[in-house]
Amino acid sequence: MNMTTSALITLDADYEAMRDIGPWLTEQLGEIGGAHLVDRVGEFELAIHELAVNIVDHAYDDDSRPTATLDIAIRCDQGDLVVTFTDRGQPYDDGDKPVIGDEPTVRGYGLFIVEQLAKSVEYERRDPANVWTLVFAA
Amino acid sequence: MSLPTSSHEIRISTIDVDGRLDAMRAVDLRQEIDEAIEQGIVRLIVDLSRAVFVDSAGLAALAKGMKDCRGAGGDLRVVAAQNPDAARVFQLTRFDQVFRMADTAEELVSTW
Repeated sequence: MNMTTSALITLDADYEAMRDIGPWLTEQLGEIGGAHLVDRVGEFELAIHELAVNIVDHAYDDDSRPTATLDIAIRCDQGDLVVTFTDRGQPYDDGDKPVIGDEPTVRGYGLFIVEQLAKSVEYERRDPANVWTLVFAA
Repeated sequence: MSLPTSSHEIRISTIDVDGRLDAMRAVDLRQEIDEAIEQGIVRLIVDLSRAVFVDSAGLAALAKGMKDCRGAGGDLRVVAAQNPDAARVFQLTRFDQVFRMADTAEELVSTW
């Protein structure tokens, strides 16, 4: 019999709340069976932070953002770290990705950074929610 | 015979960023850079040697500042972060090849 332990944090949809991600990861990785990943917490924090900021920026507008939240859950699956984001904002539109190596683009590198760090990045619209799943290889 | 000489001086300002350069703090950095340029200081060094975290918003503030400084005839150069968590975003996006970077501000000043 296998038992999986998850940890969940609910963040306000604002930039200040994103600063809780790193300390929360550091605290919870060992608790969910991810002690072997503790040395990579900075790498995970950057990717999770980037996706979370992207959600804050694009899933919500100025009217909805003040009361909006974002759930982030982590668990280990055969050694990999699986991170699930759930928000109830607007569906994701991937029409604004940056061209890497071009003249410095002012914003928009967030998802590129996520894709560089994670083994897989999946998005699914489950009305009324957006669900993102990142997997980081062990 | 005395040769004609002329002297000139250049102004270089350094902005220290310790701690986090994230989406919240990028706004402050942009403002500092804009204020410097308005004062005619177009040679800027942003010192990240004590930064512990840099995200894409921080990077964007630096990139915009560099573009504005270069557009005004100067440059924005970067003292590299010592913390690997702060340096990571430069490597992933290859911006470590876009900015002129060094380990100390003195190195950057000496090549101006």
